Amino acid sequence: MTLQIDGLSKRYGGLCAVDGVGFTASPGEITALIGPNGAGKTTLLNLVSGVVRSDTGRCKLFDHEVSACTPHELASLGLTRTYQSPQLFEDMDVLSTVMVGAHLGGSCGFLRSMLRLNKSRDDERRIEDRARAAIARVGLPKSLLQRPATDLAYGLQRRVEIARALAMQPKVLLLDEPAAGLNARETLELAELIHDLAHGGLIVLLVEHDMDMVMGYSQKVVVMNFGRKIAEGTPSAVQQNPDVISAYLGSDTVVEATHA
Amino acid sequence: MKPASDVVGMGAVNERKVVPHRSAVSQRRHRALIGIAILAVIAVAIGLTVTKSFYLTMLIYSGIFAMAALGMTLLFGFAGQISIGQAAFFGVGAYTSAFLVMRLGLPSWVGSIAAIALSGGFGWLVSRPLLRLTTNYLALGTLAFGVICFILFAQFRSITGGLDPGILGLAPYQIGPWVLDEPKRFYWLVASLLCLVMLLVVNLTHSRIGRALKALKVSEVAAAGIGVDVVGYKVAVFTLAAALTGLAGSLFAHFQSAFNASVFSVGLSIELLIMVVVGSVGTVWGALFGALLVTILPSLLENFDNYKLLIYGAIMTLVMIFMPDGFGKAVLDSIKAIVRKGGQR
Repeated sequence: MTLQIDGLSKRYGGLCAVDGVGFTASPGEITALIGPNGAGKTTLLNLVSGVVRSDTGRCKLFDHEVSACTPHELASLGLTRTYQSPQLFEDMDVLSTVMVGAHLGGSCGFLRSMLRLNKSRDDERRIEDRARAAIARVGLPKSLLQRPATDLAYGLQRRVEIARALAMQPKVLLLDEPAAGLNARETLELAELIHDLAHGGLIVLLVEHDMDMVMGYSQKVVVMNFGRKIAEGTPSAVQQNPDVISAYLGSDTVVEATHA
Repeated sequence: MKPASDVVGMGAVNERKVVPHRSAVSQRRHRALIGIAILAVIAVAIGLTVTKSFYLTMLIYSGIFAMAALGMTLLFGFAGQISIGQAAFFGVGAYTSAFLVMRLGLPSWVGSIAAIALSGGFGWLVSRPLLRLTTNYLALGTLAFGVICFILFAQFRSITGGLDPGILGLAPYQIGPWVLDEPKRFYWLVASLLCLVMLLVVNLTHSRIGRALKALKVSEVAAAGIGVDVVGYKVAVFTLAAALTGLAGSLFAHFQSAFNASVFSVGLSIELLIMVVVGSVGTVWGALFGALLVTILPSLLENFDNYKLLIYGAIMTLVMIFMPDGFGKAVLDSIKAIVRKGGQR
């Protein structure tokens, strides 16, 4: 029951944004994906979540081949994600926004929804319950339920986005820099939340620049640079890896040159 | 593997529990239903008191266009997909009714159902290529589609009668023994159908589908990421808008009895768009107010002769400047304000 990524590549003209990257993310674990800016982390996330189609390579989710799946097909298999800049819906309050996340909790199409048959009523109740549970899970205060989501402070917007993802009751959660723009306390709370979620059996793939969060909470770290995977292992092993050190700090000669 | 609901902590517990209070979400829907009840009461009151057929005629046209505008509200206001080609579906509905009733001798209601089905089917067919376009390109694409259909209506003279003479002498609407040959009678049909369409639309907008449409309007990527079939829903809402427009076209054909292809020009498509924008894109009530304003205003200005269009344009511009959320929204907000004031006293 894992997310297996195997030799994924994506080329944009002459630039190879992702070049043959492969690793496995397991349930119950946080797999962190790190690397300097422009390393191809977000592109990789876009490939895995079906937003961008890969040139080569394969993606297997619970032994299903999902490389050619669209995002909504992946969602029905239980994979969802958050975005680097929160993609919230303007003019929609917090509860409704999270209810969109519980969309797959119902099954009534256009006709049945228009006629509002019993099934549609059940759908609505289940969707709202799921949304409320997800909102409680991420610790959003109830007083915010009726507020437009885009009016909230940045840290709260991130929570709404995570609640929306959780309302889907996912099995795989991809998080693209969830701590960006958060203060130290918010980051800590977020890290604890993500830790708990993974502990509950979720596959979490985390792209993050906050090294305390990555090293303190993830079980596996994958390091990318210039589209390639340069290291993979436990946080402590990765920190000792000379390739990783040179990717982040430059090689010895460059360090000396800048110091001179 | 654990059941997925366990992942969201209390999800499994909550789903079995009956929610004791009526939630804000269903409250909003209930308010809309009360609105429809009020609409129905007003419609009945007008039907019983207004006898002047000029006023009834205006209201009938408003009601017919409101149905088409409601489709446009779903398509443009909710899902964010613009169309400047709705006149094509209006025309398909009108000609379908005319053909079935005049040539095949079928009852009017069969014609109307066929008009809904055919214009919906036509909408479904063209939506796939058209909806590959977005924003301004979609506007131009649907505009071109509307122009092509207008030319087809004008040239397919064997079915449509073209620009001259067009369709002549389509019998009044008939349901069983009732012949709705006067505005006073036809009014009841339009009013009840409008309330019915309104109810269906309100149900839709307050469902998972309605929320998904609103979501994909803002961010298709985010909507798709949580399982909304963006392409499928866009196609479905385009089809639905076309079907509602077809129904409006069918009623229009019977009420007019005689019409030609010139009705279904780009002008009508733009008028439908104006109804939705001036009425308010954000709420389904906007379509009603917009249809009423756009239909009635020109006849109120009839006395101004040459200045008619100038004044019409000026009023529309003023509405957009001072009521940027639309005429319908402004009216609703002031009603809400009055109700709230009354409640405080």
